[in-house]
Amino acid sequence: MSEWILEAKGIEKLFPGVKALDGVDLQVREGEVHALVGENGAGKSTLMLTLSGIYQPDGGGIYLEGEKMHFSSPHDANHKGISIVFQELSLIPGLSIAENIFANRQPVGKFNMIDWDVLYSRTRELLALFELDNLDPSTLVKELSVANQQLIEIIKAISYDPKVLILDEPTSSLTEHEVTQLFENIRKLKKKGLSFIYISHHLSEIFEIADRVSILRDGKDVSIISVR
Amino acid sequence: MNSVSIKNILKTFGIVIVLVVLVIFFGLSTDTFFKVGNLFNVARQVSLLGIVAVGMTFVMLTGGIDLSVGSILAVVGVSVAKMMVVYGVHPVAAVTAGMLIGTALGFLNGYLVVKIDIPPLIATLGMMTIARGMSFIITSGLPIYNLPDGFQFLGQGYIGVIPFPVIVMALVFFLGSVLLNQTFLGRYFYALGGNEEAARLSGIDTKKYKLLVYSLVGFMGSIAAILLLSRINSGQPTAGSGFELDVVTAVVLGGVSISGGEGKLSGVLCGVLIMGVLSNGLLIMNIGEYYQAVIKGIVLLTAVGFDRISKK
Repeated sequence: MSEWILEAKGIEKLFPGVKALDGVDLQVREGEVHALVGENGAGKSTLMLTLSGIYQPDGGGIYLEGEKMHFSSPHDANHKGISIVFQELSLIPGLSIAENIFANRQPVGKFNMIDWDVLYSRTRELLALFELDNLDPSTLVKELSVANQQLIEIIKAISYDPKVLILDEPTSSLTEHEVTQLFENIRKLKKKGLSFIYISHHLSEIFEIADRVSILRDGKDVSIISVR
Repeated sequence: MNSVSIKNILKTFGIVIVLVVLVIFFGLSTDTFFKVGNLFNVARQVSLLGIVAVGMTFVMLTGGIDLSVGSILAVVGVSVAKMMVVYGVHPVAAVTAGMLIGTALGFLNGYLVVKIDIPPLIATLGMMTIARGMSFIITSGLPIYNLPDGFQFLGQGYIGVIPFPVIVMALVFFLGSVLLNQTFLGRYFYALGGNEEAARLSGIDTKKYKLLVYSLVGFMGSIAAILLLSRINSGQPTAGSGFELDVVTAVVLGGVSISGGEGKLSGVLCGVLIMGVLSNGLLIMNIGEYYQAVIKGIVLLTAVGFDRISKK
């Protein structure tokens, strides 16, 4: 068993005319919040998208619990233990909270029909984790506030029971109070051993929540700082 | 939260209110509208529209559209007629083959949209022209008469007091709403139209389901084609001209968003009934076809305008 829950070694990603990632290393410990910072264009997004299976790396390898991984799609990465919450919401507005969380894996009963009772009760359990018990699982996502939509997205990611959760600018649409709540939830999940990769522009947030910080510049990792 | 649900009630029942108002209006201003026979008449007149509207709802939920349904109606109808009359194919075999043809044309629409990446409006516009042309080629431009005895039952027959096409329509609506509301598949249609990228990221095979949805509307078009063939008792190459626009009108009236992801079959049923009630009521009131077209257009714009305003 490796020291790191997630390790990226020498990741390279080429786009026509650009080397977006040029041998990036990243190591994440179990139960830590690992922040990723850097200027726009430094390669943060590319690295994330590579770790979550949207891009395929052109070089290097991704190791989860010491085992080399290949993710054919984000869906595949989800099932293998890395989930991502995008900066832009990727929910389906016309479907309910429950259907969004369990998209593509709704529980089914007789005649392959959706088992709404099971679907709603599982959703209620997940909502309760985030003290969102007041929300009805059948509420359509488009009727929720942006902050709640974001939480639903995080709940969806967590429902895959990931080992590593990637959050991309998760506070961009949240109020101060909601940020505090989000951080409480992150700490709670940390205690359960979940690791986070946390991308943010806000240094104050990073100092509040992160354990270690990796800095990217021009597609390379330049330093790792321990905050705690 | 409360104001949201009031808006929702308006949004859901707005169209029902329009239907009720129309029914009351025609009921009061004519003697015959409310007669049972006439109400069955309305139901029979809208049955083909209703059947295809279910398929169109699926397509439009995914954010697409199918303009070829009217032409598919014709090409399936004349093919089945020609098989039976000219080649002496058994009606059951001919009908089965007709359904395969309709479904295959729908699949081809889906293929053009999904694999070749042609926008649905254009892909199905092309198919609309092709299928119409095929209908004329198959018939050499002349109607095909002398369909086998007994074939008329499908379009003209009754089970008890209920016209057979109405039973088919009810069945299609029932199965359609089970599919849409109780199965993965139906929920995927909403997902595709609501946020295709998100659907794809959730691991939903968006291309497969789009292919399926266009095939389904082709299939439903072929059911309508066979009922129509039987009702008019001849294979007409001009059958179903402009039908696609009636179907789209009914579906949009029913509250299905043109950009996809939103809408319900219950609303679509209301949209279909409004179209039928309008045609029938205006006919009874002796209002000519030209005026009918104008009035239908105004009703569509009013209903959709009302919907847009109530959403704000």
